[in-house]
Amino acid sequence: MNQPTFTAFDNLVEKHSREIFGYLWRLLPTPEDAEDALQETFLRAFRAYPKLRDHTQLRAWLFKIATNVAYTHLKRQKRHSAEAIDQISQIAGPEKVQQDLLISIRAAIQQLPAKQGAAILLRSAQGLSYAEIGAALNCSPDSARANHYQGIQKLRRQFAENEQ
Amino acid sequence: MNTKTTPASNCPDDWLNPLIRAEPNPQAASRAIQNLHQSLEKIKMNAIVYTLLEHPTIGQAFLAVRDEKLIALDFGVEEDQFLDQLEAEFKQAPYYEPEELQIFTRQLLEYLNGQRRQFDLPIALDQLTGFQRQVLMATLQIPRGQIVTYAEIARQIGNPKSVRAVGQALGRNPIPIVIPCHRVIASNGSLGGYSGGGGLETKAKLLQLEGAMLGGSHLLV
Repeated sequence: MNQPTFTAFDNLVEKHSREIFGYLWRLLPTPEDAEDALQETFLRAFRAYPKLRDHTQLRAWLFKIATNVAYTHLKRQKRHSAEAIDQISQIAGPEKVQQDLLISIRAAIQQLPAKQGAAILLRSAQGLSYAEIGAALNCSPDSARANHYQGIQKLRRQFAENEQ
Repeated sequence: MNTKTTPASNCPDDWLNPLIRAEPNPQAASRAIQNLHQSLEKIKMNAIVYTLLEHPTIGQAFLAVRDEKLIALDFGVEEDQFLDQLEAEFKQAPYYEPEELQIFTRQLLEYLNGQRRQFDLPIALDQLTGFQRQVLMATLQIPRGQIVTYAEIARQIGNPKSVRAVGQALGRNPIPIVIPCHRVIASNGSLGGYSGGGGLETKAKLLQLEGAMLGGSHLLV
């Protein structure tokens, strides 16, 4: 039996907390949201870890929890999202254009079905394999690939054409 | 579709870059992670931790502690059974941390080796009903080498008719040996019951270890 120790869990935190934070930061409206979601993700992971049988997909398992936490957060926050965008777009300076683009891409990803939005970030930003994305999104690797593809197609219509 | 034709590699979706190439402010990230560590340290303090030990008298035994108090001791069960039961009762899955249970395992082994007369260990019985707690607290007062009957415990807690319920409460003793339910027997001199691993045989062994059986052969099963 693979006995669950604090040290084993701490190693997970050490290894993955930064990339999980990056993922949540890309998906959620504000850095504060990302910080809250990071805490929630690892507190849930801490509670579930001793019962986890399959230790071959720990990274995907953490991204799965983070995805659930993030989308719960987004659902709860839907009412306030307009407010958040207002706030951020008041930032002035040379980086404003990039910042505005970031915000609009993030908002568009949030509008996609959860599996498509998550698949895009997990693949394109976090570099997970389709097998890992499948494990994180409770679907097959093929379905993970399809979700990524469909999400990208929708965004491409919105953004790639605007660019030209 | 195969991997080589993913949109990302086939057709560079540069328009995604403002989001996917962007990184959170490093200070914000470090602060978030530091706060996370603090929360985890706090949650660890309240986590249930367990360990196991081996001794010829009881075989493999499991101990669990929360807030530095002993909450469970069991033997004659599989590790999974012990953990499932703990989780069902406390709604929390335990971590394996032998070092945090050192004083508990040491005292238990000393006792089983006949090197310790009584325990000096904090215990917690929060999950039990008031009646069960009363019974177990009364049992905790029985000194080593002495034997009392279920009826005597029932009388002691001011509920002389509750003999059967006393037996049931002792049968659900979450911390056998440390709460010496083996020192409680039936009024007719038979050993009564023992729900610990090894059943009555273990009960007799523990009483023998404590010298309670000397000259009391009628107590043997």
